[in-house]
Amino acid sequence: MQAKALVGGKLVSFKLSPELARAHRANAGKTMSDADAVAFVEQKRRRFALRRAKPYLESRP
Amino acid sequence: MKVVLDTCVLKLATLPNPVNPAALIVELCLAGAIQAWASPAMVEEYQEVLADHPDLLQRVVSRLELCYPLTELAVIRHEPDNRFLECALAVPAEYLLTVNTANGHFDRPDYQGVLVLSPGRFLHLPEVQGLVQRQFPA
Repeated sequence: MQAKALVGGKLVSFKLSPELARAHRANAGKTMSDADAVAFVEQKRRRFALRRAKPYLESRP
Repeated sequence: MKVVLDTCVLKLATLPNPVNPAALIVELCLAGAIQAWASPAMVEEYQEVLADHPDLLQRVVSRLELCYPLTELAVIRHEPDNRFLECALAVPAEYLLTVNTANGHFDRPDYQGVLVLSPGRFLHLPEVQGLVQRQFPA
């Protein structure tokens, strides 16, 4: 599977490694802007923080 | 060349966007053309964000150079972003690659010699263009 990127103003095609190609196939049809990616990571951070805090929060009366 | 990848760059690499500089940067890391550094805290976040792609996560983690920052920073207002800066300064990395340059995030172009660049701008660097040509000859 190939992908493209602008390198020094030229559009370059490159072959994806099997792992990244699988990820692209799994995400087929999806695209994300930079802002969407930042929001996605922030959501994951919040979930992770809440999961970590859960034992403490549940132990409180 | 030593770089630190913000997690959003890894997320963008997994998406079939028509033009995908993040994917090319990840490929350069996987090929060993550039050295990506990470701290244990960063790896934890990578695991969280790439949980849907365990084989990619494993491959990325296997190529990472690990560093253990001794200093906890509070330079960036958005606290979790400091983990990436701690790693970049401890290495020291030449570049911190992110798309998150909003106020309160990586809003400076340079942190004590660590240049903050977007994936697109990173691929414009002449030395990176050379690496791409060697790794992916036309």
